[in-house]
Amino acid sequence: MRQFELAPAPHTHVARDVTRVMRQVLLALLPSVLLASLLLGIGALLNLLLAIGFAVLVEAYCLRLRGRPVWSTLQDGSAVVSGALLAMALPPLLPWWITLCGVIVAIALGKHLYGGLGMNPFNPAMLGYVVLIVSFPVFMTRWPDAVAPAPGPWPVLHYTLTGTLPASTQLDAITGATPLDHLRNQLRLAWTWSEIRAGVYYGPLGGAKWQWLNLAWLAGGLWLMSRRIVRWQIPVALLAGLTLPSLVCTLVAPDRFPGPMLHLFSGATMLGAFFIATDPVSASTTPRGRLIYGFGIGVLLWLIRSFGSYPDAVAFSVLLMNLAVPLIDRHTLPRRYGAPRA
Amino acid sequence: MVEIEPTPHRFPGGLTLPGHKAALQTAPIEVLPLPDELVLPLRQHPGAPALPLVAVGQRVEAGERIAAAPDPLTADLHAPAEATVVALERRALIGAPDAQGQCLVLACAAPGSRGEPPAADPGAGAIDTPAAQIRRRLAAAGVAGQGGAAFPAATKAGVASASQPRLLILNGAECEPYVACDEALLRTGAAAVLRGAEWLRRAAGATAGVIAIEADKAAALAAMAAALAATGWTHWRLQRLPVRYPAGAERQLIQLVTGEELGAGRLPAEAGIVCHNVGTAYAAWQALEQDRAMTHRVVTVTGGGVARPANVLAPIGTPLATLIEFCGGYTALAHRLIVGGPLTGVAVADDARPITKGTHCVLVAAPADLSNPGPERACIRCGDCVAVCPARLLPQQLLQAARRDEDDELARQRLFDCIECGLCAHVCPSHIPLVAHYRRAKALVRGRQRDAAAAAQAKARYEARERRLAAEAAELAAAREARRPGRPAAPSEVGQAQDRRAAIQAALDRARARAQQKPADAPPDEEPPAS
Repeated sequence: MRQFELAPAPHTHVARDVTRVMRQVLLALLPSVLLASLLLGIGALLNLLLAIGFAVLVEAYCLRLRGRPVWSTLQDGSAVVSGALLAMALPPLLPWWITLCGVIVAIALGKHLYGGLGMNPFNPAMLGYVVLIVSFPVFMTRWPDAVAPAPGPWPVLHYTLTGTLPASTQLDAITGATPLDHLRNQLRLAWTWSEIRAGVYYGPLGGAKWQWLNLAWLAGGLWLMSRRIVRWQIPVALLAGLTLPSLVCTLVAPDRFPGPMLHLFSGATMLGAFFIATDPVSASTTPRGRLIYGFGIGVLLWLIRSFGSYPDAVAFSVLLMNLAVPLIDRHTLPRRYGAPRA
Repeated sequence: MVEIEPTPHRFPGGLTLPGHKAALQTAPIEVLPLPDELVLPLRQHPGAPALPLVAVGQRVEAGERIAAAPDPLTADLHAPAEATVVALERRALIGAPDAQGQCLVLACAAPGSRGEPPAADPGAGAIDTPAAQIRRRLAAAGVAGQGGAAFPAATKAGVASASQPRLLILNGAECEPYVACDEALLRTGAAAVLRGAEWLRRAAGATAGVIAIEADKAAALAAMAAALAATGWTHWRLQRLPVRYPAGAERQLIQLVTGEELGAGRLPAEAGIVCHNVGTAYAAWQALEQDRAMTHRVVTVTGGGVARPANVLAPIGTPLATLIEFCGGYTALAHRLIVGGPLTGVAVADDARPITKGTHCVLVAAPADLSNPGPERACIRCGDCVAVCPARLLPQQLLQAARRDEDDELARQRLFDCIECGLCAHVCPSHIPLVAHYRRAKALVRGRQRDAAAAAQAKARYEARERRLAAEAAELAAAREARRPGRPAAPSEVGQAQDRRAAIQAALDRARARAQQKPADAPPDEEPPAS
C-alpha cells in the first residue's frame, strides 16, 4: 500500500498570481513615470523611488507589529504598487518627509488598521494623498510650470532633500499653474472657454504636458486591459461619467464649460480611470456594481472640477465612491441562477 | 447521415481548460484481468447502505445479487465474478481522509482470467417493453449513474416518468480534463450506448432525446452520428457542446441544450427533463439486452504518475493499486492520488481503497499535472472568480460569509447554489481554496439545520406531553369532582360558603337529571347523592 499527500480540490490552478499582477501594474506605469520625469523634472522619478522605499519599510514594520509573516507578505507587491500610485499623484517637487507622511497614512492607517490587504475600504494611495492635500496645501499645490521647461535635476534634488531651493534658484521661476489651475482662475475672471483655450496652457488634446501624461496612462491602461488585469467596466464607466455631463454642459453653455476632451486629457483622469479606480480591493466587485462605481467617480470628478474648490478631484471622487461600495455591492447582486429575468 | 447540431444556448461563466486527453482519445478499452480480491462497499449510492444477502464463507456466482437496496436511493449490488465471500468488515473508502464503511470482501475463484468480453453485436429491433417493466429490470441489475453520484437509474426514471418528461439528455460532455472513459465507450460502442439511452428514454417516458457531446471529441461524435443514422430514429438528435468546463454539470448541460436555467431548488424532472450519463446508458443496454448486472465499468487511469495511461474495463470493487499496477505501475513522479478529475476529484491517502459504481477516473498526478498553487494570500477582490462562476455567484463575498459563518449572509450569497465545480479556486490569484471553505460552510449550516430541527421536534414533543399530562390531570380532577360532589372545599378558600352551596345545587341538578333519564320503574343503581 502506498501513501499519498492530501489536498482539497481543485488540484489545478492558473499560473496567474497576485505578485505577477502587481508586477504588471508597475510595468504599465513605467512609461508614464519616465515621461513625467522628462516633462516635469526628475522629481517624478525621485518621488517614485522614495515612496516605494518608504512603503516597503512601513509595510514591513506594520506586518511585524501585527505578527504576520513579513517577507512572504511583502512579496505580494501591494505595498510597492500603493507607493507607486501615491507617487504618481504627488507634485514632483516635494520634500521627502511629506512623501513619508503620505506613505504612512496610506499603508499604516489606510490598510493595516483595517486588517491588511483586502480589508481596506478606501484606496490607500488616495487616502494618503487626500490627507497630504488638506494638511500641506501649499506644498501639495506647488507644481512645475506647465509651459516652462522642466526644472533641472539639482534644484529638485536639493528641494526634495532639504525643503529649500539652492540659493541660485527662485521658487517662482520653476513653479507655476497647472492647466486645470489656470482654467479655474481664468473662468473666475470671466474669460470664456474659447478665449482660455487659445492660450499656451492647452494643446490639441488637453492641458499642456498633462495631455501626454494622460496618453501614457491610457496606453498602459489599455495594455493592462488587454492582459485582463483590468476589466473594462470601471475605466469605461468612469470616462463615460466624465464625458456625459461635460458634453451636455458644453453644448448648453460653451463659454463656461470646457468640453470632454479637456477633462479626459487633463489632470489625472487616465491615471484615475485605469490605475486608481480599478484597485479591486476598494472597488465594487459585481459586474453591474463596477459600472455604477466607475460612472459615479466620473460624475463626481466632473462636479468637483467644475464647481468644487479643488482643481482636480480624482482622489476625492474615488474615496467618496469607496464609501458607497458596500451599498452598491448589496444592491447589484447578479440575478440568481434559475431566477426569472427581471 | 445525421446532422451534428451546435447547442443553441450558453451558460454563465465557465472556462476552456486544457484537456490532457490526447493519449486516451484513440486507445481501445482494455479489460482488467480479474483481481484476487474485490472489495464492494455497501454504501455506494446516495441512500442508506445496502443490506448484505450473503454470509461469510458463502460461494457466489458471477452476477449474483449479494446486497439488497433498503430504499430507492440505493441500488442492489451484484458479484462481479464467481467468488467466495471472505469478510464483511469496515474498510477505508474513497472520500474524506477517514472515510470508512462496511464492505463485502470477495476472493475471486479464478483470478487472472479475463471474464467474457462484452458482446460485439449491439442488437437491433424495436424497444417497446412497458416502462414499469424496464425500470424493474434496471433496478434488478443495480444500474446506477456512472457520472459520479451513482444515483439509481430506475429511481431516476421513475421520478421523471411521473412528470411526463419531454426530453432525455444523454450526457456525453465529459468536460473535466483527463477524464476519457465516456468518450472511449462512445467511440467503441456508440450503437450499444444509443440503444441503452433509448431504453432509458422509454423507462422515463420521455418523448424525445438529445445526445450531447463536447466538440473536441470528434471520433465520438462521428461514431454516434453513424449509430444514429443506422437506427433511423428521428426522435433523437445529436448536439455538439462547446468545449467549456463545466458543460457536463447537470444544470449547465440542461441550459446549453434547452436554454432553461434550473435553480438550485428545482429538480430536472420538474422542468420535464431527465439526464443520464453515457456509461449509465451502456450499463442499461447490458442489463436489458445482455441480461448482465452492473458489475463492471470503464475507468480512466491517467496522469504523469502512472506509466501507461489507459481506459480500463474493471470490476466494481477493484482496489486502486490493482488498476495502477495494470497500467504499468507508478512512475517516479507519482505525487498525488486523485479519484475523479483534477477539478472535482478527491485526493486519497492510499491506494488500497476500492473503486465504486461512480468512479470514472483515477488520476495519479505528477507535480506537473498539479500546477502548485503557491502560498495562500489575502483576497484582493479581483473578481476573477465572479467571471468564471457558472452558478452566477460572487465567490469572494461568499468566502467572507463562509469565514464569518453567518447563516443570513450565507443565504444571501446563495451558498447552496454552489455546484462545487472548482473554477473559482482554480483561477484565484491568491490561491485561496474557496471550494473547501464552501464545503465546510455547507456542512456547518446543515448541522445547524439538523440541530434546529431536532430541537424543534423535542420542543414539540415536550409541549405535547405537557398538554397531555395537563389534560389527564384535569380529567382526573373532574372525575373526582363528579364522584364526590359534596366534598368540602379547602377552608382557606375565599367564598367557600357560596362554593358549597353551588356544589350542592349542582349535585341536586345532576341527580334530578339522572332520575328523569331513567325509566320510572327501574331501581336506583347507585346511592342517592348525600346532601
